[in-house]
Amino acid sequence: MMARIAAWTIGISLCVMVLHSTGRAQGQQGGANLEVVQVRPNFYMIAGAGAHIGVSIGPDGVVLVNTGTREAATAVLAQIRKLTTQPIRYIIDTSADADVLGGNATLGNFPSVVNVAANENVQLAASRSGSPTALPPELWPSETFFESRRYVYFNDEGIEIFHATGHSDGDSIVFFRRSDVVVAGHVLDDTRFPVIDLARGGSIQGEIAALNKLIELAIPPGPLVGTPPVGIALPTPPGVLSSMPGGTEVIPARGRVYRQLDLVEYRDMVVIIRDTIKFYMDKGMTLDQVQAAAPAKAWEGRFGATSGPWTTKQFVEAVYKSLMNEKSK
Amino acid sequence: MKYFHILGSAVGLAAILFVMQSPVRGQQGQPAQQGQAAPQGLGGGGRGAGRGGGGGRGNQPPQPARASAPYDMTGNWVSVITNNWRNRMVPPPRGGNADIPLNNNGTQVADAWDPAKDEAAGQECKYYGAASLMFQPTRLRISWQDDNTLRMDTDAGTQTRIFRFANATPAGATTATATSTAAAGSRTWQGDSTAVWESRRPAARGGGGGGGGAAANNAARYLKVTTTNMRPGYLRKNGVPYGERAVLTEYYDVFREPDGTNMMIVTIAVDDPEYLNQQYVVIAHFKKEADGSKWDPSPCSARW
Amino acid sequence: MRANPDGGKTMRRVAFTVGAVLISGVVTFTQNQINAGRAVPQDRGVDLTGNWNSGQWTEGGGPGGPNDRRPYDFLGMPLNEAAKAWALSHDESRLSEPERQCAYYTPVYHPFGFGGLNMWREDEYQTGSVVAWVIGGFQDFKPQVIWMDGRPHPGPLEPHRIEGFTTGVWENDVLVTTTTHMTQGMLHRRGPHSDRATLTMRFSRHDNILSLTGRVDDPVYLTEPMYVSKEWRLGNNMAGANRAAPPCTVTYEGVPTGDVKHYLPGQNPNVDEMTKMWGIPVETVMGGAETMYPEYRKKLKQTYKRPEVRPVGRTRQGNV
Repeated sequence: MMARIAAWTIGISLCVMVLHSTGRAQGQQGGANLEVVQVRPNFYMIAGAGAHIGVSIGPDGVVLVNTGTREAATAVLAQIRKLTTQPIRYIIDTSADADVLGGNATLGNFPSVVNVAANENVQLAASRSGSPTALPPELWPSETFFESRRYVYFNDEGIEIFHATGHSDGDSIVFFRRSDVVVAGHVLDDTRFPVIDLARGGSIQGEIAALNKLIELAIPPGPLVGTPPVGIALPTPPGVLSSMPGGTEVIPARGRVYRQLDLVEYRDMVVIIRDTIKFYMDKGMTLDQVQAAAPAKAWEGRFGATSGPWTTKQFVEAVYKSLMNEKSK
Repeated sequence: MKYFHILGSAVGLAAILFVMQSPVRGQQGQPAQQGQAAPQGLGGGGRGAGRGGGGGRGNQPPQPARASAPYDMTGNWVSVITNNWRNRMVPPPRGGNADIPLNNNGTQVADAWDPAKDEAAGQECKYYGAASLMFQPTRLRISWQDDNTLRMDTDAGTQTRIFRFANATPAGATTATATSTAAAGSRTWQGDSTAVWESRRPAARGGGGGGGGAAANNAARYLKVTTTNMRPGYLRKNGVPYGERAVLTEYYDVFREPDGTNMMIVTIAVDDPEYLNQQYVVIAHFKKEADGSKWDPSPCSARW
Repeated sequence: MRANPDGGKTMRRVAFTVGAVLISGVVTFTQNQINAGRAVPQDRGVDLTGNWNSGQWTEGGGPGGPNDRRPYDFLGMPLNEAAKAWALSHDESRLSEPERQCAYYTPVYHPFGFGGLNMWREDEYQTGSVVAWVIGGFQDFKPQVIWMDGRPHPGPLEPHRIEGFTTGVWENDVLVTTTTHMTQGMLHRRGPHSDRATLTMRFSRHDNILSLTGRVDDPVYLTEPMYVSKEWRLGNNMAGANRAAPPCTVTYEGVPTGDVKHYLPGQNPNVDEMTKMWGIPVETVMGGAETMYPEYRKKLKQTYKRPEVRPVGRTRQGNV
């Protein structure tokens, strides 16, 4: 009797296990509300840990662009481990923000890491004792550069690091040449108007120049723009945004992956707002008057905010003051 | 008997497994038409939805049109003017005939248009004839006059259109015949309209024409109206003409959007050998309103 | 401990029972996998295949054609204040920016605008199930794939494309499609739609007329849905049927790279063009939801001044 009960129990349990394994869905959620987007077969974007993190994986190991916040670093590391067992080799920080390099201490703390690289203004800002930009030493980059273009070679591709001064005076735009992916950092933010940190050397002119640089680096599909996809009826190969291929992928600090046309829209928006504010300033309008004229109205619904860390008013004020600084030079 | 319990447990477990995995198999095998739904419109699912709206193809007495309606188009509707705005919301100037395939005869008539003459002749309602009425900014009130007659009132020009179903339409019936034999004196601005619930697929076939296996079903029908015997009128309020030989064919699609908005799309096709060198087709959008509180009748006008 | 009284028979029975259960599980699991790979034949809906031609009756007559919208013409568009602000700053010359020359129109414009419509179906070659309907490309429109196999739309972080991502289902013999993930584009080639817009299209065939209607929802620029439509007629000649747009090459059109053409506040020269040509007041030309409904005519009656004859204006093709 007991043997029969045991047999039934074992049998049912086995079958339940089999059914469960066939029905289980495969998700792309990381821990701690992280989301992973596979941008290329060898390149991922990790979102939800502060600024987006670029992850390049190859035979040399893992190259990271940004490390996110300190709080999310453990979860980011766990997510990277799900993607690969390769060691982290190189880290590039695109600015001195806590949500960009906050994970340096965790993710950079391996013997395998060659360097944590950033523009020297990142270290200057981070190491300025008593300044609001100061950061703990364990977050500082270990390799700094001042030239406008830096390059390294990992995972069978050249990686170019371009200095920009839009968001701050220490911005970097990182271009993975073979993967055809650009990680833009805070120069580009799909969720809001660009954050121009005047205290850290950011400027509207630098921002526009940085966006123009991104447009120059990003190549859209073409000239065969309008060709139907090949093999529509064939099974879609897994991963890599396969349903929507085409063009250089640009990873912003937040929001969705961009392509060149998106960059052009974003750049045009910033230029028009800049020109409109300048137009009002040339008429002698004060900041309050400019704010009342709502120069960013056409894009407020998409990129604006009335509350939070970066509002439309703050953006307009930053542009206004940046233009004033230009005038006074 | 020895091994009866072995066989019994195997059979019993297989039965349990089959039942447990049925939802999984259902998902995998589900056809792509997730949207295949109950009849469109206003939840009038009881009205002849599903198959056999007209009975057994000649063996049973045909159902009345009202009972076999695939959707409910009664109620209050308002036109939504987003295209061709300056030829619809305001009367265009004389000579503004763009996009209407007028022949030379039609162009001459249009260029000679004079609203004062229409007013003097008491013909202000020339612009409110059936061939152009649905393309105007207007509100509609649609109701069943009887089980085989649909009535449509418009507040623009206070016009009334009557759609008579050819007979109680059996399932699978297609084009209603249109005749143009009325004596001239009996012509009206709205003409004679014959209606039918039409299918987009050949009826009584297993599929064909890309149908892939499913026969026509009543919920997929639409209203097709053919109108003749119209008095000569205007396609636009600047004298672009249609003549008494014009035939108007309309197709009515009624559906509900996911947000609950009820829409009616009217495709309007005008054939006129007298003034047009090809068929003229336009589309009008209507949105259902909760009530008739915005009903605002206005008389026919030759100028506004 | 008592010895086994039946000489091991019970254990053999247990072994057989467990074995039978395992075999049942394996067989059922295997059948499940086989069924998963075999698609149930689908209802293919109504045949939309063919080369559809338009008489350009609703709007257009083609760009620059006699019924084309003027550069500042937003009549009947339910634009909000942000969209109106965008419209005031918009300069058509921006389309000549080298970066924009190959930025084709989104599906919000074509297939509701100018050009032909060539549709075909892609079937999975083994099972015959419908994978997609495809709208062929045109001069400045990319082919649009309407996925019919139930695949999900991309996630919110994935990139957008000009033509977006479209899925379709049959609803009572009408093909209803949903397009998301478009880039920013144009409504009626004049007004803006954002990259948050969604386009729902309905392909409704009546005899040989295809009534194509669309609804645009845009939380950024529209106060309510905008409805667009185009009527198509099945052509007999497939010779001109387009599957692909011709290659696009960038040339210099007088606007250098990085030169963002736009109008500063109060300097848009086209604002009163519709008023001068057609007698329609400026506030009406700027659009807004109220301009779509019949009751707006009461306002217009006081402000509209019908020209005696059609104006003779300049378009790309000559006269209006």
